[in-house]
Parts: sequence; structure tokens; C-alpha cells
Amino acid sequence: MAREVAIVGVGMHPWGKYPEKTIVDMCVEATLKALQDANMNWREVGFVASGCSPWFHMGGLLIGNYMPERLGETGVPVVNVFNACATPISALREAYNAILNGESDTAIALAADKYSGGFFVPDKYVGPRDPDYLRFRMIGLTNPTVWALWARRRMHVVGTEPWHFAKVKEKNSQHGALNPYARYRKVFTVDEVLNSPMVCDPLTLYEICATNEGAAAVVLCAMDKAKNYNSKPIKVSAAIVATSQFGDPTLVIPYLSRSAKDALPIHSEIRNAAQRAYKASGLKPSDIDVVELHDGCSYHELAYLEAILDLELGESDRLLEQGATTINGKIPVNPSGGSSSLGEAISAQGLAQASEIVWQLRGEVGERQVKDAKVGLGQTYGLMGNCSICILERAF
Amino acid sequence: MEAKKKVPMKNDDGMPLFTWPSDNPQLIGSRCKACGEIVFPKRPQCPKCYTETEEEILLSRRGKVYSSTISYLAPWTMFKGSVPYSIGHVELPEKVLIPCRLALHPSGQPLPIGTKVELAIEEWGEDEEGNVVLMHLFRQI
Repeated sequence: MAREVAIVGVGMHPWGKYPEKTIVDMCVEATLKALQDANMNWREVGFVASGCSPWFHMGGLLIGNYMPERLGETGVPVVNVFNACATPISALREAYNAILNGESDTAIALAADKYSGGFFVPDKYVGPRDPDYLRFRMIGLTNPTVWALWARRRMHVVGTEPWHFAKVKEKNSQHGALNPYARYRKVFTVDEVLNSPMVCDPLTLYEICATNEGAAAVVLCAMDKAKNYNSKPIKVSAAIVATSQFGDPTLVIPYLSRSAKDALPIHSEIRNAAQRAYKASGLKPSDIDVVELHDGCSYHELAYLEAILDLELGESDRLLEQGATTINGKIPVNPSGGSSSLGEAISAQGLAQASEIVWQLRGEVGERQVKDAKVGLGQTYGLMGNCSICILERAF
Repeated sequence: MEAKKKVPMKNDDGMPLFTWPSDNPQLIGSRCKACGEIVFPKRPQCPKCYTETEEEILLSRRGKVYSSTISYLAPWTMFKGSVPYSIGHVELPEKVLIPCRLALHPSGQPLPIGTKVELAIEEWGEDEEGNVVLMHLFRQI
């Protein structure tokens, strides 16, 4: 019988601006919190998978190796992963697989990021046919403009109105107000969101998440050892990465053309990852009690939820109108407040999602508790059509 | 003072993106000889069937808006003087979707989906050497 893997500890450094701390300082804090939560000593950690931050040289790219440098040179294997916004769950996947395949009985996935400077700009030109350079230079195609193109297509196809996008922000701001780890804890109304400055039609400033700083860590072990560390183990039922499929007309950053044959449903990388995650876990969309998904902007919450739960296009608008995606609704989405409230610390965001889901499944989040949540799903989407998904289940 | 040199924007390996100079400029793409799939810009390998039998083709000058937006922020120096600017996803008859600039409509609103548009070449900011860069965009017919 295949091994089962449990999460026995999580820890987060609050999301926000911390000019007095280095990225390594923040990562160490999150790591120590997660180890404390797991009643585990650093010397017991058998495998380290870290999410790299691309904005710093060694401190970001080799951040996993800074943990033994700070906490103790135990000889532990360290793997540093970068997968754009899909980085953190990709690191979780490495840690999960190390236990699943018997390489280790314990592991930690950890990540941190510090990029609170706003809009992304083109990276260095890497050579001929670099589409990322071309899309910025030729078209001025920033990430939010791509999302705006998706959003206006959605408005045309399923009748979503600007009101819906604003309502997503209002709902997430109500959730985020209850989260001590969130950077933005002010509640916004639909009118305030609609009246905030237009960034790229139809997306307004308050509907686009801010880039940010944060750190998070998740401690895992073989399920048969879980009770040694925590009386409330959470099973990792899937930790999956998948990419987009040719024939999907969705404009993927930084591609400069797409097939217009409409052969495949949109957001194929999310559908691919979700289907793989359901297959790996033996679960189905109706088993999911709580979702933490990647709301880079309000559009994502509507479109990604449909891809994750295999719903008809437009169904998320109805769920939103019914209040079904609030903490007390039938399928709560982003009870943490999402990236909308936390801000997005790219390389660490998925581990913040995993931490929130673990706390939800343990019943430890007070006012933002989803009642009797047993199964949670976390999802982040990475540049170039890379989607990561984890499914976590209560195992106590 | 010497007039500034006008140069067409090129793909970064020096490959032109459109025919120029021309009275009827066209985007340069490629078609897979094996499966017929068309992509832009021209590339050596087919993204659908993965064979390396691409041939150069000139794309239709007219298409229709698949989606469009207007950006009120410019994160990249070349666009600083151009705000607001319009971006679209244009569908060509070859069944290919191309993200590209759109000429800003006098109303200031994004062009409705389905609007018929035609390729034009316009001056588009200056490059690092101070040349005026010529760039393709689509304009409402």
C-alpha cells in the first residue's frame, strides 16, 4: 500500500512590508513557527524543499540552503524550486514526494518573497525569440492587461458585469479583515471598488492584488509517525503541477499567438491540474469544502473556480450572487481574504494557502472558520501556463 | 538637426515581424507543412504537432476583435508617453489569435468584441539608440 503523508505543522510570517528584515530573516521566522507547531526539532527534518525568490541573488535563489546556515548544518538534503507563482506548491510537491517515495520520513516545504514594489517589468533580454521581452516591448502587455483581456472576453461570453468583479473584492475584503496575517484588513464596498482608479478596463485598482512580502513553511511526515508530532494531522491527498494544452484559446503570458479554433475549454492548465489532483486523491469536486485560489485579480476568482470545480462558464457569477463563496456559504472561497487581502508574495503564496487550509481543517481560525471543513484545495497559477494544486484532508 | 532614423520593430533574432516598407504591410507568420497550424511570429517548430517543417506565410491584414482593453498605466519606459493605450486580442481568418496594440478609439472606450480591424504601421516611441520605432497595430475599419 502506498505511503500516506501528513502535514503536522504550519507557520507564517505575516504578509506586509518589512524593510528592516531580510528575506532570509522572514523565512527563518516562518520555519521556526512551523517546527514549533509540529513539536519538531530542526535536527529531525529529513528533507528541505524551498520556493526560490528570483529577485535576490543567493538569498532568494538558494534560500533553502540558508536554513541550515542559520539553524544547523545537519547534512539534510536541500532542493530549491522556482516555478513562477506556482513555486510554493511545487516546493510542497517536492517535500510530499520525498516522503511518499521513502526518501525521508520527515520534510519541510518553506518559501519567502519580498517584492512589494508594484508592477512587474520585463526581465533582462535573454536572447533571440524571447517572448517575454517581446510582449512588453511590442505591445505593452503587462500581466494585468492580459487579465483584462480575459475579463472582457468573459463579460462578452457569459454576461459578467463590472459589479461582479467588485463584489469579489468586497467579499474577500470582508474575509481578510478577520485575518491577522493579511496586509490589507479594510473592508471595501462594491461602490468603493468600482470608483477606485481604472488600471486596465474593466479592472480597477482595488480589484488587482498588490505584490508583497511574506514567508511560510509547512512541516510534513509519514502518516504513521504523525501522532508523534501533532494530534491533528492533515493528509496531503494531492500536490500537483500541470501546464496548458495547445488548442486552448486563452492568451497565456507571454505567448504571442494562440489557436482560434476554440477546440478546448479555457484555462486548460487549471483544468489539467485539477483533474490530475482529483485522480491522485480519489476525490471529486463536490468533496471540496473550502478553496483557497489564486486571485491575482477579481476575474481569476470567477474563472478559476469554474476550472477547479469543473463548473459551467458563468456559474461562479451565480454562486457569488447567492453568497455561496463567503465563509458561511456552500463553497467558501478564499476565507483568508486571498491575495486580494494578503497581497501576493509570489514564491510563498501557495504555502500561505496551505497554512490557511490546515488551520481551517483543524478548526483553529476563529471568526473566519468554515464550519466543519474536512477537505480543502489550494491553487496557484504560474507565468507561462503553469498551474499548481494541493488537496488536503482532515486525518483525525 | 538630422531627422531621427525610423526602424521597424524586429523579432529579437533580427527577423522582421511585418513586411516593410510596404503600402500593404502584412504580419509574417509561419505555417506547419505537416498539420497546417499557423503561428505568429514565424518560428522553426510547430507548437501543435512538434514537427520542424514550418514555412513562412503572410497573414491576412483584416481581422476582428476577440477581446480588448485600455491600459491607464505604463510600466515600461517606451510606453510612458502613450497612456492610455489600447491592447487587443485579434482573430485573423487563418484561425489564429494575436495579442497586439489597437488604435485608441476617439470615444476612449475599448473596441467592442467583433469589431472589424485592419493592420497599420505607426510610429511607436523611441528605442534605446534614439531611433523612432515603427510598430504594427490594428485599427477599426
